Amino acid sequence: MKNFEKNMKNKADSFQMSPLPDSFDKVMAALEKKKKRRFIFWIWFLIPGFAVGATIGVYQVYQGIGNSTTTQNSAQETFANNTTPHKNNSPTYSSSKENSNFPTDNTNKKTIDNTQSSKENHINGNEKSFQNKSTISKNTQGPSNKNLTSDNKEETNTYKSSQTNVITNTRNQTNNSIIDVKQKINESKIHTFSSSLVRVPVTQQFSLSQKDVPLVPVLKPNLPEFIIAKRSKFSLGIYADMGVTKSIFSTTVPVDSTFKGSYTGIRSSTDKFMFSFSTGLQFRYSPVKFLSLETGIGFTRMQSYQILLGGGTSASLVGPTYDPDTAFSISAYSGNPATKEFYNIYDYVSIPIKIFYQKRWSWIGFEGGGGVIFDIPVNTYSYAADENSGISYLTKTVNNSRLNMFGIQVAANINVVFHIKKFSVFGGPTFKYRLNSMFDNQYIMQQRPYFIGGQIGARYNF
Amino acid sequence: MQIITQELIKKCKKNERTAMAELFSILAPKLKGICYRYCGNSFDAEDLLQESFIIIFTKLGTYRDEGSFEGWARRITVNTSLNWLKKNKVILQMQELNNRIEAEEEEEEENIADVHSEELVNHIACLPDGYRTILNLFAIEGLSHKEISEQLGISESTSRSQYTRAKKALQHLFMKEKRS
Repeated sequence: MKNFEKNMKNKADSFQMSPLPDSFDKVMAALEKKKKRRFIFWIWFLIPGFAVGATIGVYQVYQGIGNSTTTQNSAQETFANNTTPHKNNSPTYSSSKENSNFPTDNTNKKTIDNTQSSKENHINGNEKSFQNKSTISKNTQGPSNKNLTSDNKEETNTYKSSQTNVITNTRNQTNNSIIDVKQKINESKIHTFSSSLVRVPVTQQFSLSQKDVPLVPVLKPNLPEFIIAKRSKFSLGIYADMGVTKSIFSTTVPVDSTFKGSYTGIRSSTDKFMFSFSTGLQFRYSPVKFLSLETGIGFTRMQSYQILLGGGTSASLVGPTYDPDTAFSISAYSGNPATKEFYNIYDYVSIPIKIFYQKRWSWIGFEGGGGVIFDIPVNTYSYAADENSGISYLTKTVNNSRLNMFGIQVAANINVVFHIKKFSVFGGPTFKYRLNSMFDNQYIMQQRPYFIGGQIGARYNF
Repeated sequence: MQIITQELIKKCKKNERTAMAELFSILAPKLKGICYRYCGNSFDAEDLLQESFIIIFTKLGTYRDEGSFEGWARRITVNTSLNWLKKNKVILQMQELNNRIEAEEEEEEENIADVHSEELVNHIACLPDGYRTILNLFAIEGLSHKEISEQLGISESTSRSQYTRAKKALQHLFMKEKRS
């Protein structure tokens, strides 16, 4: 290293500037804010984490009961029409379950104050003059005279050259007007030279050579203003899931051992795809650019339908002990091998908690994720028909029956998102599967509906 | 001159406010000087200083007691300043001196040994952003042109030519002042 560089390094290293008196407090305040933000960030992970954990826990407990060797309670149930449904001998069974410019910089268009005022040069960088000017002199000849006296509001550097040129560096440090001050600086950037120097406008003094200037990357495509949307942390929207539902039936007893297994098989094969929908409000929080957490409240309607042809071996033995769909008693269940139909409508209030990975390219984006949906039963409408009764449907609103079971679903979504200003419109396929059986564990047959469909919706981004 | 002890750093790692304030008071004047050298004005230098200290205190846990703490803090400050320059795109403009200055190429090298540090830094601050950045990185931080080119995303030859011109511009300022 040459002497020039050595001297430069030594002198530059020894250069010091006093920070503002409230500088440390500002740093501490920023750190505190950062800590809080971090906490909020983790809270949003903990909530769905806790929900998922609780879901798994509940599911495991539920499954644990189901898996244990159980003796069916053979207590008789009396129904509205005073018939006593068939009860099998309380069977003992066990089940086994399976179970993330040139910058004009203003080149700096450093507007050089070219007014050849020989007395005072206001300079960019070094010099900023604002309304409340206060000046502190700094004699360049004296090594320790650089101390900046500053109070809470202002800091001023005055650079006094040996040629008696006074370079004033004034800063208005009023906290409340920092932004204004910055703007003023940008607007009034001027170069400093001592008055003894020949001041030449930047445009003359430093001519640009194209070959030495790296290309300035294009940061933003030139999009029409109406589709330039800004990323926001919070959004509120509406959604609608529409699709079909079908159930997976299973039993805790071997298929071939008793009629119960056969019956479950029959129910599986006769279950039809039925229209199902869900709609509601969704609230989203996006702690980081690529991630968002979603919750909300909605209404879900699900339907199920089966028809059992008469004459089967199981039909005569259908009863509420095994078949949860027998929400109420009809004569057909009293040992009648007639063709039967089941049609139920389940209404829930749904609360989703989901996490999404999101990627956005200007006005279009993608999001994929999933989570759990808690379904709180509101009401169930049950329809059943028996051939022997002349295909007469019996309807009943079931408010407090075993059909009104709290549900937990896992859900997965993949959406294409279109951003238009502060609005986002999204749509894509959705899949849901119920984790817990629709019927409580005292029934041998278990029914877990799944949903295949699509989701559409719109969000307003705050 | 106060010394940064291991004990002080340990206390800072434990988020003890008094220790953090002490560390700040020791380092801040030097670091603000660095920030000033890079951004060229005391207003932005103050912002950069605060930004640097936020990073220093946040990343304090990653500092292993190898090497000087001041050097570690200094690197953070330099990087913060460079990021600021990149963010404000000032680094992308690499200016050239005009022919008038080129014509003075043969002038003898200005001896800056007797120049006061404040005077020097203030002259550096007057340089265009591109010159200032490369002068800081090469002459003061001691980075090679290759390292500078990698850091700033410019070619090595650009870095070299910018430095030469920056040096001349600086010398030009000194000489003009001296003559007057």
